[in-house]
Amino acid sequence: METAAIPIDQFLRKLSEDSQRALEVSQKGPQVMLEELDTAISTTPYEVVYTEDRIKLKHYLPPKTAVDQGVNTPLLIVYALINRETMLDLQPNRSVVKSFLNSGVELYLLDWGSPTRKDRYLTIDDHVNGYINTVVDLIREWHGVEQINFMGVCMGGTFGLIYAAQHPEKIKNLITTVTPSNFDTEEGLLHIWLKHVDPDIIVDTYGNVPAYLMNYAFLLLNPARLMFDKYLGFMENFDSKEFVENFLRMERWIFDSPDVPGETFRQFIRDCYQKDLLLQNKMVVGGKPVNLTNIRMPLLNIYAKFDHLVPPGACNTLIHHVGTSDAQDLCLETGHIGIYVSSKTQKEFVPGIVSWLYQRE
Amino acid sequence: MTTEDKHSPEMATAMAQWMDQAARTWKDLLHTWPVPEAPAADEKTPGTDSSKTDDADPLQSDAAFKNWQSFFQSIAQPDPASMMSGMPGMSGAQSVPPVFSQLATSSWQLFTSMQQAWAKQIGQFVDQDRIKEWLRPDEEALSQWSDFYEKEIRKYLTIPQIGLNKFSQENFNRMIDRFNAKQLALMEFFDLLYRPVRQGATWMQGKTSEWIDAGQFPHDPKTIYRQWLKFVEGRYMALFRSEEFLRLLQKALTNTFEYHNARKAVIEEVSSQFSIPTGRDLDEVYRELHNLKQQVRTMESQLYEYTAQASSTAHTA
Repeated sequence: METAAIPIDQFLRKLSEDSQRALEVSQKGPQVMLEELDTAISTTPYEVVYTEDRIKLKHYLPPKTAVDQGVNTPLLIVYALINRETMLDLQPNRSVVKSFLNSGVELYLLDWGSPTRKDRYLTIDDHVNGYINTVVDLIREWHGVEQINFMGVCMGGTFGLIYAAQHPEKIKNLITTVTPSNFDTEEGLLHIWLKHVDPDIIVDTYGNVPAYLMNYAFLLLNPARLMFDKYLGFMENFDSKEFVENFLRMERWIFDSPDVPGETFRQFIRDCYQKDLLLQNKMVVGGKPVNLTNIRMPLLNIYAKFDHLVPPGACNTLIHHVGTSDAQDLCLETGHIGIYVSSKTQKEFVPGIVSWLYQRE
Repeated sequence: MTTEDKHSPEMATAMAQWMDQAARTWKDLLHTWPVPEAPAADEKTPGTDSSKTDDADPLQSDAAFKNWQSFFQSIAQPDPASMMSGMPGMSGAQSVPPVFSQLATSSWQLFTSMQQAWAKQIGQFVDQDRIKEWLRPDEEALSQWSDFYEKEIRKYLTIPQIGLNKFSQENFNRMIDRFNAKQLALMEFFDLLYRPVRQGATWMQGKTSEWIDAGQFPHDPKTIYRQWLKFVEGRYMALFRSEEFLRLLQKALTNTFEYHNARKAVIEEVSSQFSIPTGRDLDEVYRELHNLKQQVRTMESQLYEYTAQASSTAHTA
């Protein structure tokens, strides 16, 4: 800060420097955009080992160069129904999938695909006791093991909790990442808004909840940053090919989102966001109660300190409601997506999980 | 013009003058219309009298004009019903003039009040203290428009229809009504969303003066941008937790969904005319398919348990 009333000379000098930079960017940027850009996501090789309706089970094998960390039990990762699992393999140097493989973990990733009109009646039960249960059984059978490791991402983590509570015998270790479990909080805007939204009218109107509707909602969470500042940042840096490629990868992932099956959305909003039944052990899925005290396997609950979608308050009470004493919280200093893609957490996230799994192998 | 002025005698006189002027204009126009030529003898319909046809047109035009003139004058007069009663074919229309008069007056009042609000704001433009006021959303204008629609227009779209096309017409009217309601709700919602940006502009003016007074004006324009962004972000966070936002969000969503459903009803009706399966037809099939799949899954699970049990019994034996 300065002492002069208006340091007009310095202000104009800086403005002129910025203008010069803007001119350079505007000259070079269009050339970058016209070049062949590598914006492919989910490039780690995999094999589709099972398909059913819209879902696919991707199988990743560790490379020969992997450093075996001693985790032999296969790991199934279940993503949320919102956005796609490709975020876990967004770019080569920031890939959760690659990090697991490099640690010698054999990985299965459930791709929920794109729901169509015929999927509108699929409930949480169909997803948990149908698709998830089927792929868990298949992996157990293929590997000749009684139990597998399970990692859930966001809503996929909530599904994981329901599954582990109803099929505890099939899960060896449970990892929940940025998973909403406590809905009786007003820390996050989603938790406030969804209490005032009528899921019935949305589902009855659209069948499946359109992805664009949810994208609007996510953008609305922070319009100044997500609709303005983000693109200003892009305009300032679009002369850098690497920046543009990474930006476009993220942009591609964000807006390539599937619709959400209507009945699943209805139950998730009503039972979780509006009635907070999960932690009270009052939720019913497939006609059976979801009792979290049935979760007796080790639990690692990872959440992000600056998460605006699933804030810490929505995650950090879970370990007190499960039936295991081997339950642990891990809070990372990042946001909802940063936990998987930021360069800082790449050193903490996967290595932390692998080390935790190894101790319980 | 104040609120009282809207109902003043001057206002009524102005309306009457306008109506009178409109009537005179129509009269002039009518006289410029050429009288249609009589059809040629071989084109005449058998049994019709050509002399009657030649004379009828100017007479009918004149009668039609007189009706219109009376109609306009009746709207401008304090007792329209008495004027209308003398018109041929209009004896049952005594209730119409007040409706038109009311609609025209309401439209005029809305127009003048909005014009008045804008004029007031423009008049205050040079007043620096009033710039903040001018930057403020004109919530009054939006709510006036919303009220006007609800009170004066909507009722015409919800008139019960009669006859063979009753339901089609009602569906269509409902779609138009829901479209208007959705547009109004979205207008209010987006106006609210824009509020933090307007507040940011006002705040930045104050902040700039503050920096200048304290001799702390930033060297870097980006510092100003960052401060503005932080302020706007903070305002959004506060707004998104407010009752007002939640109310307008709910209103915008509900109206959007209602319009979507009204539109769907019209499309489904058209589709059914052409034997095209509607969304509802497809949903019925999908529901059935879903139920069947669930039954199969349950049976598979029972069969698996049964087989496992049988195999275990066989091993034991």
